[in-house]
Amino acid sequence: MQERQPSEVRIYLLPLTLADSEKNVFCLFSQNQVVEIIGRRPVQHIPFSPAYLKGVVSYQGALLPVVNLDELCNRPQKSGRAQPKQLVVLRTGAVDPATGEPLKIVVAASTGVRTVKLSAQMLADGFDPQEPPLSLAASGIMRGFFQQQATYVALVNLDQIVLGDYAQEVHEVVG
Amino acid sequence: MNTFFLAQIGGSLFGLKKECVVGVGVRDDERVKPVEVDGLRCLPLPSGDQAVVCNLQEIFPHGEGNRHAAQGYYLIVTHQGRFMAMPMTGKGRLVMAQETDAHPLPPAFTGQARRLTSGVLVNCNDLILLMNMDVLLSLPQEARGKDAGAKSAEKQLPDHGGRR
Repeated sequence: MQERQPSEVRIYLLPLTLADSEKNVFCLFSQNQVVEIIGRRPVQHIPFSPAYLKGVVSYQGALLPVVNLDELCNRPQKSGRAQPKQLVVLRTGAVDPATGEPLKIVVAASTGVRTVKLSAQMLADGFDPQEPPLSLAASGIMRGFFQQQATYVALVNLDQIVLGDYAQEVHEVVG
Repeated sequence: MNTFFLAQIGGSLFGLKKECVVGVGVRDDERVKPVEVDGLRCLPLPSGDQAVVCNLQEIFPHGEGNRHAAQGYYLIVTHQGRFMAMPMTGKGRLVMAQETDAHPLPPAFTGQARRLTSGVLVNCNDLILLMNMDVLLSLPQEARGKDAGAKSAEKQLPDHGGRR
C-alpha cells in the first residue's frame, strides 16, 4: 500500500465557467474546507431567492444553502436550469448568528470536481498571482487568483454568502 | 401534531395549515370564469367571496420547478378574511407533521424569501416549504404594484426610445 507523503496536500478544483474568460479557471478548495462531495440529489428551490442561490438540501439533519458560483460570477447572464452533477459540502469560517453553530454551504458543480495531490512546496511556490477576469473580480467573493501552467485557480470567500450579507449587498446594488 | 395541506406548485411542495384551506376546485375557466376586481383576477366562490387568483409559478423569479406540469386545480386558501386561489398540480393531500420540527431557512436566504418561507419540513426526500400566510396573501397586490410601476415607467419614457 502506497503511503501518503507527509508534505502532500490534497486540493479540490471546481471548474468555473466565466462569460468573459476562455481560460481554464477553477475554484480551489482545501481538504480542510471540503466536508464531502455528494452526487445528484434534489435541491429545493426557495421562492424569491437570488438566481445564484439554487435552494436548499437536507444534509445530516440540517438544511444547507446551495450556491452556483457560475451564476454568481456571470450575474447578467440568463439563469441556467441544469441539475448539478455534484454537490460540494464546504465548511465556512462563519457561524450562525442565532445559534453559534459553524455554517456549511454547498457549491453546485455542473461538471466533476477534480481532486489533485500537490506537494506543499508546489502549493507554496508553484502558483503565480495573476489579474483575475473582470467577472470574478467583480463578484465580491474573490480572495486571490493564481496561475499554474495552463490552469488558473481562484480562492473564494463564501462567508458573506452563507451569512446572507452578500444577498443584501446585491439587492442594494441591483435593486 | 399539526395537519398540513400539501400543494405541488411548479415542482415545489408547499405546506399550508389545514385551517387556512377552504377547498380545492377544478381549474376550468369556462365553468367558473375569473372576473377582474380592482385590477386583480378573482375567482367567485360559492360563498359569494372573491378569491384573488395567484399563479405562484409565474410570480416566483428564478423558479427551477417543472413549469410544464399541468395545473388543473385551484387551491383556495383564506387568511384574515382574505381569499386566494392558487393553481396547483394535482389535488394535493393532507399530512400530519410537527410544526416545531420545521427547520428555519439558512441565514443565506434573506428578504422576501425569508419572509415568505417560515420553515422547511423534511420528509424523507421531500422538502416541504411552510408558507407565511400574511406574506403569501399579499403577493398578488405586490405583483400588481410592480406591474403598475413598470407600466408607469414605460409611459414616462420619451418618444426617442428612452435615451436621455
